[in-house]
Amino acid sequence: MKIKAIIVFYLAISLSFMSLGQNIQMPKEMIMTYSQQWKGERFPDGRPKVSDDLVKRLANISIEEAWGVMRGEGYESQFEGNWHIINPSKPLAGRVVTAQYMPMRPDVNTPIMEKGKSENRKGSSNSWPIDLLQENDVYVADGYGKIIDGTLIGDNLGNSIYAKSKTGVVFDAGIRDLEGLEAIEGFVGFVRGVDPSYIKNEMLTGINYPIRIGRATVLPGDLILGKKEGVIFIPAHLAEKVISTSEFIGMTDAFGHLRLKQGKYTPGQIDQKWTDDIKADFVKWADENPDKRPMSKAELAKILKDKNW
Amino acid sequence: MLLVSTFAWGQQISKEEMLFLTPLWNGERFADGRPKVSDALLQRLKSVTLEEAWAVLKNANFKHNYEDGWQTINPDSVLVGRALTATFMPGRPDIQRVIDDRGHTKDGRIKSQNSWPIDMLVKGDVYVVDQFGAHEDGPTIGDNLGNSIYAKTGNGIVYNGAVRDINGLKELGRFTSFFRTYHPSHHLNNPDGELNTTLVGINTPTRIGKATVLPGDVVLGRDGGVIFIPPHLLEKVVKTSEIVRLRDMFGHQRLREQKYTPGQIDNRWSEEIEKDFSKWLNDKIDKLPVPKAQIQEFLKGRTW
Repeated sequence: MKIKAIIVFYLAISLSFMSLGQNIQMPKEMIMTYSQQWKGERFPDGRPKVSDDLVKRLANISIEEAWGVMRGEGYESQFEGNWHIINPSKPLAGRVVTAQYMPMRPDVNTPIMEKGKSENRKGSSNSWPIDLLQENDVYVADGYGKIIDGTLIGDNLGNSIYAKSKTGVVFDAGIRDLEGLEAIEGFVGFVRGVDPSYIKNEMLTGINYPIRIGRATVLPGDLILGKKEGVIFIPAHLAEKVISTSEFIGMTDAFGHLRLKQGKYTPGQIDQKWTDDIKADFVKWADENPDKRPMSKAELAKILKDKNW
Repeated sequence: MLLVSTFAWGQQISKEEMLFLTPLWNGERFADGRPKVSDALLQRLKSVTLEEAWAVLKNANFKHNYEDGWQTINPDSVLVGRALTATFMPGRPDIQRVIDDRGHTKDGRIKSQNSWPIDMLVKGDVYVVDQFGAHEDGPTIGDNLGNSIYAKTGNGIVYNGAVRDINGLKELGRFTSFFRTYHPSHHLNNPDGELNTTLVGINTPTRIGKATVLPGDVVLGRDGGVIFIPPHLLEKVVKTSEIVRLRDMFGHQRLREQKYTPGQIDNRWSEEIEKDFSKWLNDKIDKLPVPKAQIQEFLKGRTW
């Protein structure tokens, strides 16, 4: 019995040694180190798993509000604009899975393809990140802005992505089969351009490593919100604060606009720091109109308590 | 316990991963696994043109190893050395803090992240940096770090971003460098204040424009362009260039002497010319711009 246990122990150690070397996916320990401020749930590979509730609410906040809250926290490199947007009428919201692509080098690509095969990954490497996607994930890839011969997906992979994630993609790269992608109901894409060529002279160098998308540094497990203005990446540990604060600003706006329409307050009163009377009126309004309150009562109470408004 | 140390991970690529990504290199390596091509070949590389290196790489199916569009220091000089890479990304307080912390407490790194890769440089290295093209508030290198880099490597840099203190860098004399722009500002690295730059990798594969660069690649920078030569192809690049150079010297001399017609030289050489070339090599072996031993080896392989 004892000997068996020892054998199992050493087997476990030697297996863990074997799993080192080039890691196509970022090692769990590295994800944990980078995202150590995140105290909540995680996927088995260590990626932060912000709650489905927050992901759902994320879709309704504005880019400006999210940007403002993050800027206040010292996060100034989270937004990127200038996209070609596929199906722009729907916001893109979800948890980030990253992939990095680089110009092809045979010496590097050969061992990566062999390693991938040994990890039972199928097909060409640009489909490997897609195999990992789960519902509410968003596939975010750095394809170094290459469009011609740099189309990361067409409508085949697009259908697979949407079936798995129910979201879409953010590619600093091109896509092909635009009509086919547009036809996938609910699929949203932020890409640099469209070209009929297929991916060529390019290789996958890593999954879930930190990547750069234009002006933003992106980590796996970040939340991503894409709207007509562009995309913004929210670190997991800031998700709740960014979303609830944005929602709160949205609520004060809705309340202020309502009261202005009713002529109850003057613009000067609403556009300034509110008096205690107006604040009390707002709290009462929020209480009586739960449909205007996207967050829970407790979250609202916490914001009212924390916020110097 | 045991497992904990096994999983240790830092900014710097692990030796095992370095070996994994450079499987075609069978020669000497640094202690951390980085390929170490010979000093002799580096010396000989200085006479190689970008076209010659480019052609050898292209034939070996390495088509994404060249980048241009640079500003330079010493545009008439040649930069040659072994790449040590650093990859920076736009700053994020969360990872900036933990990277600083682990660097200082576990990995023995000192002060700011932008000096960590520089601390590792040795003679003959070229510091190759992706600073994502950052211009204003971009520079991680001015004349202080420039002096340090030059003292350690004897070389300049390849830098995808802006440098500062351009006058001080030029005063170094032999700091032959390739960079995108110049700006008098500097990068910002305070996770609790102004922050725009975080070091995410040392000696990990990095992208410099249209090229993918691995640590230990051999940098050849000249005439406004830079090519990154995989170490296993260096010898072939150098030898091919030397033979082409010798054949050109011989051919041009014979044309000036009018011993052969242009049509004879600009074609596949006849056996007679090849024999003349062998004799010419033997006669001039001590006066040619290629090492004698190399010419002897070349002659041994010739049937003329």
